[in-house]
Amino acid sequence: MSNHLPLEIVEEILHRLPVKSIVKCTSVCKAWNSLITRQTFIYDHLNRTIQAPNHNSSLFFQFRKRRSPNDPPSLHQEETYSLYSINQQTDQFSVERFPLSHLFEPYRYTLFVGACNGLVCSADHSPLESATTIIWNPSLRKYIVLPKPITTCKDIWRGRYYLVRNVDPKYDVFFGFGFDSRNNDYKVVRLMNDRSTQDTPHVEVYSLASHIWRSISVTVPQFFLCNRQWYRPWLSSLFLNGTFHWIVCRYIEGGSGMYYKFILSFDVIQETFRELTLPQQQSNEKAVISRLLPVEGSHSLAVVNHVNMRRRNQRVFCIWVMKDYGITNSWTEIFRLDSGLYGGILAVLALTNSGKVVLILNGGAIVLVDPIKESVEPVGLAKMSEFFVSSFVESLLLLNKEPDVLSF
Amino acid sequence: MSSSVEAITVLSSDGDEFKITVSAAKLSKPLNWMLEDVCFSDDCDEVPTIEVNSKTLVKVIEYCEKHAPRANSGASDSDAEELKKWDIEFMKMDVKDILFHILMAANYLHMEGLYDLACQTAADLMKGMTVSQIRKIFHIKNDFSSEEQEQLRRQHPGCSFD
Repeated sequence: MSNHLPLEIVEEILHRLPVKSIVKCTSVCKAWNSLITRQTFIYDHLNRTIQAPNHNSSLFFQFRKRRSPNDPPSLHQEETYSLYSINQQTDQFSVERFPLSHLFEPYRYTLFVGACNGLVCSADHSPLESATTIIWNPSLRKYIVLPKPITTCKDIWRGRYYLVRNVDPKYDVFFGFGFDSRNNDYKVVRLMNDRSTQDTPHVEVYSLASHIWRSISVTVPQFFLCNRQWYRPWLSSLFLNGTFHWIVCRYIEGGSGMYYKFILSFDVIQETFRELTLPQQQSNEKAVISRLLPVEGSHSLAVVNHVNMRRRNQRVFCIWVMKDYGITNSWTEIFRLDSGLYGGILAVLALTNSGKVVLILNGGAIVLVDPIKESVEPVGLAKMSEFFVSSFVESLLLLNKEPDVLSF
Repeated sequence: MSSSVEAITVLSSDGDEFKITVSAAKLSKPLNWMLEDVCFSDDCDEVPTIEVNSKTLVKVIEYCEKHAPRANSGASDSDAEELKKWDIEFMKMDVKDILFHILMAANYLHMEGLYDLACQTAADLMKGMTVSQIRKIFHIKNDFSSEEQEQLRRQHPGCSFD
């Protein structure tokens, strides 16, 4: 028997390596290089990763420092993109950080849009021509800059309000990022609406395969974005089951100014909008904040309601899961956490596939809590007060897409 | 094949004779086919040859004998846990010397469990290795020019090649 392993066995071994080690192996020899950079290898690798989520999943975080109106404007705002990988055997987190703000225009507010199959989309949520949107692969440190969208407004001075808050005075711009399994394509959907009118937002879709934006004519349910002042998790979308989800608001008819929240969804294949009802608390409980909750390696839609208990002067986090996707009756409250626990819970960030919950506590500690055993494990510290979280798997996508794809 | 046969004799590629129990041989599809096709009784002259060298075949048979009871009957969780520990000990072997031979044997004998275990062991070993260490254990000659190598490094600044 020869000492050389046949390539089919080498391929089997390579598939069991972490992405960084696979990339390292592209420089072993030409045969390995062409094996790894083949599209079929990249897709096979992704499919294996998705099919064994217990071994490969992690959580992706973006933390941002909240700016106050008194802060001096700084060129690049403090922000961190971090990948927290969970080791299933030990529940240990390993953290990797990614400085990205240099890829965006100064003074812009760069936000996590979404993550899908190892790719992350970040955008600066500005309606201006100079706005930047990128798709990047944290495992490979590669990115592609998207072309300019079709509908933008001219770069004119938009006031101190814009500088400090990074909120455009006239327009809301927000995005979704996900995978179209029918066309084997990654898509970004961008909605831009004029806040002063109730007009239908302008909707554009970018396709990674064609690398162009196109406007689509589609019926959009009437809605407005929730509280835009500070805390904007609703600007990023949650992608699962081929659908983007955002929590939005709508005024109750009659002009009382009262509004309710619901989930706006967009089907990435059909390119149509739908609505889903949020889980309803009991009449003596008022949901103050509702947030879509990423569930690591899962296809379940989950929501956390931060609830005021009217009678007992108490706040709790109620965690809900939609057992059958799309069926409103299947919303089930799986557990609740008193917000006074562990020295005060600031927010519920995500659920892990081992049934634990990731929390951020007052003071910035990120902890992993087992709601049944009531065990608490510290994970890290985030001195940032805005955060975006997504389920994440490593992939080799963008590996062989030179020269459009750049490295950072 | 007579059902009274409990062990069969096979020849390694070096011509040594090995005994393997029928239940253990069932872990390999080709061996299983042989069981059905070939006469293994004592008065049969034909001894099938397995294209695996003696040193490797010893290990493959050891693996089969250990895993056979569980594969044939199913086992409790504690057994599975014990077997996992045994696998880890079993795989503590010299890569160049024997692991690659085990890989090829497991592939040739269609032994899914052993193949998976050996691939994972090889992958775990490679994780901490430099490119030149990987070339060395796989007996691969570097066929990149230094310019090409430099270009690869530039293409993947996020990855360490050393």
